[in-house]
Amino acid sequence: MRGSEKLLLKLSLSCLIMGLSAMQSMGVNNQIYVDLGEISSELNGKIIMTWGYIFRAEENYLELSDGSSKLKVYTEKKGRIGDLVIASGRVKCWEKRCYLIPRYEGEVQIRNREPKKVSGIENREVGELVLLEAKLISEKDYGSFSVLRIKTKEEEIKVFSPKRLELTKGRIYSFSGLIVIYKGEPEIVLREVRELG
Amino acid sequence: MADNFLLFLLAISGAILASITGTIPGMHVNNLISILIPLFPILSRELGIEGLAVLIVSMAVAHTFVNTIPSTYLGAPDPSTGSILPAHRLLLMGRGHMAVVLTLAGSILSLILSLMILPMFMLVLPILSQIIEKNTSIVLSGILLFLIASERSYYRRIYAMFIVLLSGILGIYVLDLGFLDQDTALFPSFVGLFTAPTIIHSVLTSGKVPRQIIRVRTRRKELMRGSLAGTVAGIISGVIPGVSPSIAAGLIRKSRNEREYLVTIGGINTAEAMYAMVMLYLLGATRSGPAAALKSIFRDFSGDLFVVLIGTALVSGGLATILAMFLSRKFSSFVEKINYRLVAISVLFGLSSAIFLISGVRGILVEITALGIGILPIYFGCRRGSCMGFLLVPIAMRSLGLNELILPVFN
Repeated sequence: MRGSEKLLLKLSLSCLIMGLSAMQSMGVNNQIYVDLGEISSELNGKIIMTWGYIFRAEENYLELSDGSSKLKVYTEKKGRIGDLVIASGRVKCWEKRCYLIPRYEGEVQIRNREPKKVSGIENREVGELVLLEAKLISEKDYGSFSVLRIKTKEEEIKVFSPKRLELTKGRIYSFSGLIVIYKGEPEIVLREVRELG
Repeated sequence: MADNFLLFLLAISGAILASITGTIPGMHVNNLISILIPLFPILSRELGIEGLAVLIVSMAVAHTFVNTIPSTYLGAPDPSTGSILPAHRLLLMGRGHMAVVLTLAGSILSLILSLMILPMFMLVLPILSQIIEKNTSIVLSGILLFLIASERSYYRRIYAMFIVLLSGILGIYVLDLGFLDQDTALFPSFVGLFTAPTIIHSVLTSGKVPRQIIRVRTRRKELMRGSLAGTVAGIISGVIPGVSPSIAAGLIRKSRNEREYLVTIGGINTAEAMYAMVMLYLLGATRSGPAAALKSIFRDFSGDLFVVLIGTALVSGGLATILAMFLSRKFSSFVEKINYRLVAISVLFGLSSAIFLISGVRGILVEITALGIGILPIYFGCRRGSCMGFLLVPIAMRSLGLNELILPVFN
């Protein structure tokens, strides 16, 4: 083997080594899967992958919930309440609160979901996206959000609305939203409300 | 994600597999991917989608290294590369192995150079791509004019214009008026425009292949100049839609000699394959068959995966170089014993049969028409990149909004 071929061989071996170390150092294995509820300050700085449903969608972050725990994911991506999000990135914790900072936008994947029409939420699962027709009983305004009480044929349900609404008591509306647990009780996080009739 | 060791094994397997398929004359990486597509559901279940992505990238990169072997020894180029006549000329001088080594050097140096340029490129790409997107018609018309104007004499410029026009009309019929199914339209067209004319020309003009000398003479300057030119041309080809490696080769300055030209050609293919992947990661744009295949399996492309795929490209390129050198030595040892004309005609027959199976009689008609156009640059002595009017004219027309005016005339 002469000079040029030796040079090629050396370059090939260098490429093989560089490639192997790139594959190894990026460590696809370094990324660990963690359930939303397990994210704590112990994971500060670690790269994780998790999933949850959009609980609140703001301009620069999505707040995810798995029904009982919440996590803010900083992203520009747009989603609607109840959509399923699979996100990975670095955990940042500050004063016992943790956030997820994706390293690239591609690390946030949003799966759009359509609500299922139901008549009540008693036997429904947490995380389900439901659509129901109900009468508005009361609306309590908390400034940036409001809490509604609605009544279907079957039960009375608490609804959390991330936005302030101006609805008329006694009227029937169709509410779509995500079932979550708040202080041990199931409630709906409102995605959309429409007046019927 | 799949285990790192499994990914590494898949990168190696992809390179070995492509080293086998890459020696099949006229086999383009897109054909290879289209054969694999029906197996994607099974492969992604068994290997994981990251594993499948590693396999695709590894095969795509290794293919750009190994396809120099049929180009050189059988005179059947990869359809997108266009001219391999210098490699074939070296074969007839008993220097086939040297031609392969030069092309491989171009490929591997370009692989390293394109990675070195990558960080800077990532900064400018978003702006660059916006400019190109807004001015596609101007960019493509400019490229067409440059291809014609850069011919060496007045007569050749007129011939080149004529070839651009003819191939453009063929492109309008095949791509815009739907003469062939869009998924399979490129194969018969490119075989007719590039592969078949080269095979026919080499059958008609070549004498007996002499005993091959396994000795390689290169100058480092030639390697550096050629690979740099190849990298730049490959990036242009990977970034601008419709610009194939052969057009990009025509855009860069003329190589000083055949050896440097071969280094450049090797570099273009590899840099184009790399930057098609970069375009997919940064902008979600598909500029090659493998990139389209990756996009079909990933909704989003994460940074981790991108680095793993870059690592895969390095592993695959490194291994493919060693395998291609080994295969080239083997080919060199028996190429003078085989009946070259018989092999070349068999290759042409095999490709035409594949076209008939994929696209039927219409595919053969397109191949023959394209062959009539593709043979012209060889006899007029102008650049074969002029045949890329086939792609450039329809795309430029579309971006100029002339389709509604011109298509009814052809219809």
